[in-house]
Amino acid sequence: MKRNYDKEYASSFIKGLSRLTGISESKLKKYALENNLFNVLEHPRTIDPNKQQLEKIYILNEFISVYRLLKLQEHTSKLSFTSSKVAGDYFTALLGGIKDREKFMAAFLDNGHNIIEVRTFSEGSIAEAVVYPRAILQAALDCDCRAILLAHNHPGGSMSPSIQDRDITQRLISIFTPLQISVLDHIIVAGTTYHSMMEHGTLPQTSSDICYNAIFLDDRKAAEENETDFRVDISNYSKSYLSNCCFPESEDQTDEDEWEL
Amino acid sequence: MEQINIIMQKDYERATLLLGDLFEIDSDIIEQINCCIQNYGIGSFFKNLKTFDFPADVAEKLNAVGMVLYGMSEESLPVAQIFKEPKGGAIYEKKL
Repeated sequence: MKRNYDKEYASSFIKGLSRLTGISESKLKKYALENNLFNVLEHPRTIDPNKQQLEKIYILNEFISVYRLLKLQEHTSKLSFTSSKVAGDYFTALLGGIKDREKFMAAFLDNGHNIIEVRTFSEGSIAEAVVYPRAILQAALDCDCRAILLAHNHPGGSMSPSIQDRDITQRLISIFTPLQISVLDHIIVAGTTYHSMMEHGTLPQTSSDICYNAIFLDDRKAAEENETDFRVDISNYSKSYLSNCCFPESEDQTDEDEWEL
Repeated sequence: MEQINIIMQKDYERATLLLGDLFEIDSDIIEQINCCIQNYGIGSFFKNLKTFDFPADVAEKLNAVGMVLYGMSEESLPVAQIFKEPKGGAIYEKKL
């Protein structure tokens, strides 16, 4: 199927990309006849590049992410997260181009939700990252913030928060609430789109269990959950957390009354 | 505001380092690019490539990045056309 690109834009893109990566223009043009041309950046292996070309595409992709972020920052002279959309756009610009690893970030905000500092707390492999709540707590206290935004990417493209995603969000909410620091949202970036827990009403409530242990974020778990057999050991989850979860109705309704955790 | 500037400065440096990796160029050129980007802003930098005095191969690669950005509708000006300007006419004479 031939795509309807504006010729001028497509031609500019192909020439520039060819010059930067060494992939021939004819190969890119041929690819564009049957495919979405921009897949070359988002899914570079589809064009079968050599190792050097692949490396260049990754770097270019990362540059474009930073470029978008800077444009956003230059456009809004004062970085203020007034809505989930602003936060989603911000972190999509920052994390959307990263396809080869999970990256966990936090933005620390003042009373007016203006940005104080943005930090990366973990960079893992393609499907997982380790997050240390203690490190986030330390950074939050250091900058005397009043609110926090959490964000990480799912290189696999899954938009659904995994059990671990919900877990770390709840743990951090439980840690920060007594300190009067609000965790406003947890943004999950998947390519050019994002999932906001706040928008979807899935931001967990605070729990009495405060735990500072490292948490492994696992993108694959989200994918598995989206498939069929969803099983999880709930013995480690608190009552308040489980009360916010939706469980499938049991065939035997009388069992419901017997739930004791 | 000062903290915002520090954040942006870090991002400018990151952008420049990525360009350095992409182009495989010397650190002094990277520093020069960083300086120009910080002075102009990232958007204006690519719109004003012709005003900078970069070596020809670096200018060509920066132009190529601009072409990719334009192709992705990230840049409003067709950067490629900047380098297609005829070398003549009032504007060219004025520059000389």
